[in-house]
Amino acid sequence: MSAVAILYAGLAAALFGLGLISVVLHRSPLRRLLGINVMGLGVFTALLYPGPVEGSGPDPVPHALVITGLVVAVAGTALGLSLIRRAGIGQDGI
Amino acid sequence: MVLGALAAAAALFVGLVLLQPVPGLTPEVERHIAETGVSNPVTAVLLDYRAYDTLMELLIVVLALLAAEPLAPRIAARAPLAGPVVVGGIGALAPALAVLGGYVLWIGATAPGGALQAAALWAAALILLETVGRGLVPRATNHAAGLSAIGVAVFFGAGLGAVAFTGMPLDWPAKHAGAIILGIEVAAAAALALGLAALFRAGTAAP
Repeated sequence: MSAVAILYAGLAAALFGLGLISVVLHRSPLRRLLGINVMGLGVFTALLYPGPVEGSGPDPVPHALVITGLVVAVAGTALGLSLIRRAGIGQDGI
Repeated sequence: MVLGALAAAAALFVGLVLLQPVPGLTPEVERHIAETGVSNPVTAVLLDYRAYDTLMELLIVVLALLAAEPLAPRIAARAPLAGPVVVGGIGALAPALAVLGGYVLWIGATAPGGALQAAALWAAALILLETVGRGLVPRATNHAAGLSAIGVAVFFGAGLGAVAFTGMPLDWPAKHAGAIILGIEVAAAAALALGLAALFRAGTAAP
């Protein structure tokens, strides 16, 4: 088990956990949306986890999957923000 | 609930660390890379092996834009940023970002880079221009989505046209694969950049 692999696993778990805590603790939809985003980053980091793959360099298939996922996450977040704004929730005290 | 979240994170960590070594898909990607016309394995996966993933991703951005635009607030847009430093700075930065995006797109065939990274840079340039009131994103509802859809249609049409040459949709003829991928990347990056910038504008201004 290399140090880089442990770093990736720890980072993925930390991002996922922090995002999930934000989602379950906060009632503000904006904070929940941001929490889901941070959870997504944890999932992306997990997908890029280099540990189990033999050989050098990252596996290009999950790498491409993550690049695609990032764009979809941005588009989904933008739609979520539009919905939150339209619903008029969290206008103050976000 | 926080304990549950911590337990889920700990399970993710333990699960990742306990994963057994596997060969991964790198050997498979390397074996056929000569047929893709590009030497960057990530670009080969994005625009050749799994091109339909990228096509669906573009479609998702257009759909998100179509959904977000009617939700745009009916109030007037926030006054654009003013002042010589911010306006002059963005006026100088936006063209530089556009050139950098073009370079990143071109280099994507052989090195890290590609259409999606270029789209991020171009979208940043478009968003910066929006903030100083010099935006290039069409104002009318659904016009930006329509323009983005043209980029998706180019990708889709090329994928369908490939059937005539290779018998499979989205399977480029090996001889011209590099040029086809470059053309699709330009269309995809432009559509994506416009779509992302229009999504930003839908959240900030009246249509």
